[in-house]
Amino acid sequence: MRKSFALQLSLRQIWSRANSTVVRLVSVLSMAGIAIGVASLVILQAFMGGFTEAIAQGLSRINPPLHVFAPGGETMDDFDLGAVQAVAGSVEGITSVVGIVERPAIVSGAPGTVSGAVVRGAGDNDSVILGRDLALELGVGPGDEIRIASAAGAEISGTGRVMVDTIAALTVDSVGDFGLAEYNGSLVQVPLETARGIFRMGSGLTAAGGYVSPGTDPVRAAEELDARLYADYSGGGWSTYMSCLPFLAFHGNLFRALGLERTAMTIVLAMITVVALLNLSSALSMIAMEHRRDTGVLRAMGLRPWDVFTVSVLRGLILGGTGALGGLVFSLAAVEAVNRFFPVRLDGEVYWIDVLPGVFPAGAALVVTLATVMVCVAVAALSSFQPLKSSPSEALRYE
Amino acid sequence: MSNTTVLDARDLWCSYGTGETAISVIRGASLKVSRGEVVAVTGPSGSGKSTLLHALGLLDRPEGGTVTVCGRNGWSMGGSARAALRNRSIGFVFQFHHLLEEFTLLENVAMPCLISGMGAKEARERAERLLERVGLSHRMSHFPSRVSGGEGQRTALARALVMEPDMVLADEPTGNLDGGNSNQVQDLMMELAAEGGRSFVMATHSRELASAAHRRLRLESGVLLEDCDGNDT
Repeated sequence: MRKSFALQLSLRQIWSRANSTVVRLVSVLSMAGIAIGVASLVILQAFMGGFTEAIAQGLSRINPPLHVFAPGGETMDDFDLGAVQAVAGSVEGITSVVGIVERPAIVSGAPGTVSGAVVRGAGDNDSVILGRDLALELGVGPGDEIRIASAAGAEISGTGRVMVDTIAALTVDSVGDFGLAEYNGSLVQVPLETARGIFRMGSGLTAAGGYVSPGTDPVRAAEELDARLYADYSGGGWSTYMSCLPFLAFHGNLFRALGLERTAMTIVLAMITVVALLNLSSALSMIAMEHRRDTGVLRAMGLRPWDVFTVSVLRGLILGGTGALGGLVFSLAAVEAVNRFFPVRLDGEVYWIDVLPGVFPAGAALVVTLATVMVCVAVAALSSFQPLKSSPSEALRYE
Repeated sequence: MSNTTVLDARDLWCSYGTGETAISVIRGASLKVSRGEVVAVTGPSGSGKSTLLHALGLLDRPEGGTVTVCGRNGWSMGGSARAALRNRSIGFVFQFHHLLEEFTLLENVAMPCLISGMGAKEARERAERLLERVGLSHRMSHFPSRVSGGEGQRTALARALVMEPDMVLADEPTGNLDGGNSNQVQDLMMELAAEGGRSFVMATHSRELASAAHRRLRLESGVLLEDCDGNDT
C-alpha cells in the first residue's frame, strides 16, 4: 500500500464529515487532553526550572562559585590564600582565587536610619556598592555617606545606647541590584582592605573564593580542588585542611527541596497525561469500531494485516502527535506571554526574587513530547489487535 | 469462455460455533470455474451462500478443503501473499455497496489500485475509465451518501473490476435494488463478464440474474448441487 494512501485513509477516518459527530468530538477531546497534559508538564518545568535557575543565578552573581574555608570557621590569612592559589593553579578550569571578608555589621545612612547589614570585601572589588533596598531604607544614594560598625563588637549600654567598637564612614559609589531580595536588602560591598579595617582583621580572611572559566562545572572543579587541598594537607605539605565546596552547596537544602517539589508536581501532572492517553485509547477503539466494516472491505480488496496495523498506528500518531505538538506550541506561547506581558509578581522577602521567570525547557519539552507520541503510537498499536485478529468476513458481517 | 480454470474449490467444509452448538453450513462443497464463466449460486436465506463466497474469496478459512485461485492454493500461503492474491485476482461485490463513506466514488474505485501500490495517476485514470463504463462519469466527485443504491452498486462493480481481476465474487449484487436498478446492474455485469473474459460467481435469490448465468448451482443443506431446472429460491 502506498504510504500517502495510508495517511489519507487515517486522516479521513478521523476527520471526515462522513464520520459520526461523536467520533469527531471524541477525537478532538482526546487531542485536547493530550495537549493539556503536555502543556502542563512543560509549563511546570519552565517555571519551576526558571525559579530555581533565578535563585541559583542570584546567588552566583555576587558569590564566587567555589568557596575555600578553614576548619571550624577559623579565619584564614594572606599566606593561606597564597597556598590555595598555588594549588588551584593546577586545577583545570579555575581562573582565579581571591580573598573574602564577610561579617555582619550595623549601617546607618540618613539621620535617624539604621539597619543590620552584611559587609563583604572581596579581592576583586574596589568600590562601595549598596544593595538597592538597603539604600532605600537608609535614604542614601551614590555620593552619600554611610557609617558602618562591626556588629561583633557592639554592646548595649545601661541607658540603652548601642556601643560599637569602630565606626567607618564610607561614601557610596553606587547602588546595585544583586539579583536576590535578600542581598538587595542587606548587602554592602566594600574593598577588601576596607572590610578588614572595619572588622580589625589585619591580614585575615573569612574565606577564599574561586572563579571558574565559562563551561566549567563548579561542582567538579570544587571536588578536584578539595581533593588536592586534602592531599596537600595529608601529605604534610600544609598544617591546616582547608576544604572547598561549590557555593551553591551552602544552599543545598533549598535546591533539594525545590527539586523534590518539582518531581512531585511532575508526577501529579504526568497523571493528567496518563488520563489523556486513556482517553485517546478509547477514542482510537471507537474509531476502529466505527470503521470495522470498512476494514473488512479494505481487506477484501487486498489490504494486508500489516497495512491495517499501519493505518491504526497512523491514527494514533495523528491524534497523539497533533495533541502533543499543540501542547508544545501552547506551552512555548504561554511561557513567552507570561515573561513578556503577564509577569508573575512575587514577594521578594519570601521568595528572594521579585518576578517569576519562565525558562522554556527545550530538552525536557522534547522528551515529554516524544515520550507522549511514543506512548500514543503504542496505544494505537494495541488498539489494532482486535481488527487484526478478526477475519475479514467477520468484519463484513458486522453491521 | 475458455478451458482455463480460474477457481478450483474442493471439498469445502465450513461451520459456525463449536462443540455441540456447532452448525455445519457448508458440507463438502466442490466447485470449478473456468475463465469467462458466469456461475450463479442459489439457495434459501441462511443456506450458506455468503459463507461459501467468503471461503472462495479467501476471506474466511474453511475447516476443510482447498481453494485454488489461478493455480495457487489460497490457504497454504501467508496472510500478506493471500491479501496480494485477493487484490490482483479477486473482485468483490457485496449486497450493500459497502463504499467507504469518507471517499468520493472516484477514490473508492481507485482504492484497490492504491492498495496494490500503483501510482495515484494511473489508479485515477483506471477508476475514471471504469466509472465512465458504468455510466457514472458525472458522479465521480460525489460521496456515497449522495448517490442512489443503484449508483452505489454500479460503483462497487467498478471497484471490483478496477484491478482487472480473474474473477468477481458477487454476494446478492442486486438483492438490495429495485427492479429497474436490478436489471441495470445485471446487464452491466453480464456485459463486463463478456467483455473482459472475466469469471463471475454470484450468490443470488434473483431468478433473472440466475437465469442469465452460464451455470447455476443450488446450495441445499450445505451441499452444492447442479441446478438443472433453474428453480427459483
